[in-house]
Amino acid sequence: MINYLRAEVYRLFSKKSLYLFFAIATVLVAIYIVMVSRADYFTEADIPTQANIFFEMLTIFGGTFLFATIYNDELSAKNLSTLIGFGNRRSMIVLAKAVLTVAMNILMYGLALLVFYLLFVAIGMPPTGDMMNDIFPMVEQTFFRTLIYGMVTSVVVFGTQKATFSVVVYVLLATGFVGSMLGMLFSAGFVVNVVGDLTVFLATPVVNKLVYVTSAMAILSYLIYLAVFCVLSIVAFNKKDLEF
Amino acid sequence: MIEQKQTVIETQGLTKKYKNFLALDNATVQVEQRDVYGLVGKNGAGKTTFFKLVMGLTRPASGNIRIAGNDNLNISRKQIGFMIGSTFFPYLSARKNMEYYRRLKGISDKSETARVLKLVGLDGVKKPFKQFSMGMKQRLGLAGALLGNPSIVFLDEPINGLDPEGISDIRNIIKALNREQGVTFVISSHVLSELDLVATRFGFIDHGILRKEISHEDLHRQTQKALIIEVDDVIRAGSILETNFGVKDYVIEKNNTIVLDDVSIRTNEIAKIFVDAGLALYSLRRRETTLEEYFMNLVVGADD
Repeated sequence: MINYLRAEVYRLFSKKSLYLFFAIATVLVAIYIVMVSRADYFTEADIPTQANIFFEMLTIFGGTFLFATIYNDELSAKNLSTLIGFGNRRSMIVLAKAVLTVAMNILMYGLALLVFYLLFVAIGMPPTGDMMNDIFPMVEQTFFRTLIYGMVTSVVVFGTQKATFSVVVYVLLATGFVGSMLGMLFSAGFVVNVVGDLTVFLATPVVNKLVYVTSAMAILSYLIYLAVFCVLSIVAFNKKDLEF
Repeated sequence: MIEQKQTVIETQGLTKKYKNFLALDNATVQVEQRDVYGLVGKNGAGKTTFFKLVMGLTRPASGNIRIAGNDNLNISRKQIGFMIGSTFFPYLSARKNMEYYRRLKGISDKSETARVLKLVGLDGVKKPFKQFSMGMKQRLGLAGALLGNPSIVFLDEPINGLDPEGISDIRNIIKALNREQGVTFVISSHVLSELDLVATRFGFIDHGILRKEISHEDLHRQTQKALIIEVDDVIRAGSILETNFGVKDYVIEKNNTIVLDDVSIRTNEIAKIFVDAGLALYSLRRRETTLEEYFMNLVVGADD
């Protein structure tokens, strides 16, 4: 797994569009913050609200870009065939991808938080400690949700090997479309009467518990959530024939 | 001293089904060390399925595979190199794609990337893979297959899209590595004439069935030009050929057939002398089977 991770890290950081994407995103965010901060209604108390918008957008745009870079590039390059041909186990590939997703998202959210903080410092409105205490849970929430979206979509990636379809699924998850649909379905009277309350199994409630309750059970629930989709990815991948 | 060859790829009764389609049927293949094994077949004959099974990209319905004498394929596959089309990242250059593979294979020698790129003539190429010509893509595929000096190399249609110079280059690389480093190659192709220039053994595959395995020498023995003479008395006929034409290299097949490798003798002269000697000449014909004809005969014969 170490060799594969080393190769993947090399690939990701050799991709010029990775740097370009984050450079453009930083510039756009900077322009947005400058514009918003000059509005009459804007006060320092609005910074956490802006943080919320920023990190929700990051989940959708940054998350999708990162997901496509980590998973879909390999589908496009038919690299999974190469990996297996070199004697790598399919389960190892799925796990390595999960590790890489976690690592790259930590990096992305960490840098995003730093950029967000520095931009407000640059315009003379440094976020206070209390504000950062409000902002941190938002970062955690979006980060943990992004990991769930990645793991759920990895089932589609490994099960279908269809790059575009996988990205569409990720976007539907990240924008909350799938969550809203499932939320409505699970809240329907007949579902609740027959199966019980399934809404607690949706990603957002699971992540909210993890961030705001932070009990052992909440951590365990979250890890089980990831593990279930990881196992499903392995099962789907094991059943899939690869082409070249 | 006779060199004992080791079997490096061995399949027993390898079978693959896609729903109702039998892609590979009970294929038993043996590739020996230092072989350049040419797997020949039409499109859809089962060559790619065979490669996919050996590489672990699909699972067999039945049968066994051994690589380098090892049943644990995840371990033994680490000894092989392969070229299976354009499996490279489009935004990376040739060097960066090879660096990716070098890390993936755990090769610590950093000069290995430069070595294989020089071998295939891609050293110094800066542009990304997506801008490569078909020939350059094939060359990079070969470089990837040779990275880390694997003892067994699989090449799927390696000369597709190459110009004559490229074909010659790849042929020379294969020959040199086989001769100098003892690398075993398994090459799939439907261009029999090209395979004929490098392969030491052939496997003919059709409709998922391995029709025949044959050495290069035996194949050429069966396809070389010859005169086929059918007479009532092969002993006397042989004696006449020796006396009148100085022929010594001939083979008596069956009871009444002589196969003569020297095709320069005029058939009308043979016919006249045999008839004058009172032999019953049933037929006198030239055999000129090309490799393609041999393959087609094999396939059509099996279909019949």
